[in-house]
Amino acid sequence: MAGNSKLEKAAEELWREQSDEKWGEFAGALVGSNAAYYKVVFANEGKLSKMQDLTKSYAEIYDAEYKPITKVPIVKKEGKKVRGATIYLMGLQVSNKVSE
Amino acid sequence: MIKQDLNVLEERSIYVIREAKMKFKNIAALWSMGKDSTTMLALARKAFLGKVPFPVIHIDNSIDFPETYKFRQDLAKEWNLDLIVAQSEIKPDLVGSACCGKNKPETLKKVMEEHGFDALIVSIRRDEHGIRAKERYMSPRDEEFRWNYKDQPAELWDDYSSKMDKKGHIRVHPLLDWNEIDIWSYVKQENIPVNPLYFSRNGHRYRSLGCTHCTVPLRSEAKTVDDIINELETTTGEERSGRSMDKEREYVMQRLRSLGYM
Repeated sequence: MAGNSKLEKAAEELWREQSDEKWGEFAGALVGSNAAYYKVVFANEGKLSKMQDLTKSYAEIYDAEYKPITKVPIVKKEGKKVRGATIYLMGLQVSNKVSE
Repeated sequence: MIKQDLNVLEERSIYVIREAKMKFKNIAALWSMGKDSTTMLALARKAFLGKVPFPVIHIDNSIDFPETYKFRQDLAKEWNLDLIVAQSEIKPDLVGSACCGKNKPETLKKVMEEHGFDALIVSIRRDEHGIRAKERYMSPRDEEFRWNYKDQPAELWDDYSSKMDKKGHIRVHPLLDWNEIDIWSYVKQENIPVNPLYFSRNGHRYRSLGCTHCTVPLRSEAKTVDDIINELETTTGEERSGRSMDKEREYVMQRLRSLGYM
């Protein structure tokens, strides 16, 4: 689906470099895609003892059939400060699908 | 879990909220978008002719669930809330008590200072946690937000103290007497909107909501408010069992609350 490739590209851009503009593009691409669910995966088994653990943490995005589409960071840098970015996933539902 | 008389609980909570509004010059409420603080806002609307008459603060660590942000956006618009979003910074020591024990109270201190609030409504309940059972309806905090749980004012004959340190503030707790099943029964009775994460999907639901880092879903088939009430009538599990264990050990929680944690 064309919408999904736009989303994948926007997510790739975020891994390369983050800015409010790029997050805005990602949020726009999300609306035009068939993304339906997300799962937040924290690095280092969720211990988050270093800043790197946070920047490596991500949200995996799935379509309505739980097929993975892409991964996106869950924190963004604002100058020297680090803030979360899960608000950009608004509209998706948490994936609590029970693994078989 | 024992159901209480909702009329009695409602009357008491509305009395506490009205007393607080009358006693303090500049009061605000904390809203986490959970069932308890949303119920408190519904009670405030009932107490003041359909309008929440004070600002509502969300201490946003910015890794909340996207569903929670959507719920915040929709309800703030529907109920015309004076919403203050105070974003806390994420720090490398974001784990267990370090996250909520430091980052959130620091952000709360900042927003309280900026707006000059002298009282804060917090929707804790005595049945949630042993340390919360020690709270009063109106409980003083010092300049550093510390809570001296060994020295609290007596609350006899519904007379609540508004005395505080010069630079301190008072925490107001209108939902102290409610328990979990009362909240859900009231949500049903008043048709209060709640975060969709509370309802089961794929055999799991969130019984107590925090951020994406510290909250895990529990096994449950409760898809409606009625299902949740039925589930609570028989469950033996603890409400906050899905929250980060580090935070919930009794002594840690006591230490956190004495340092200003909500």
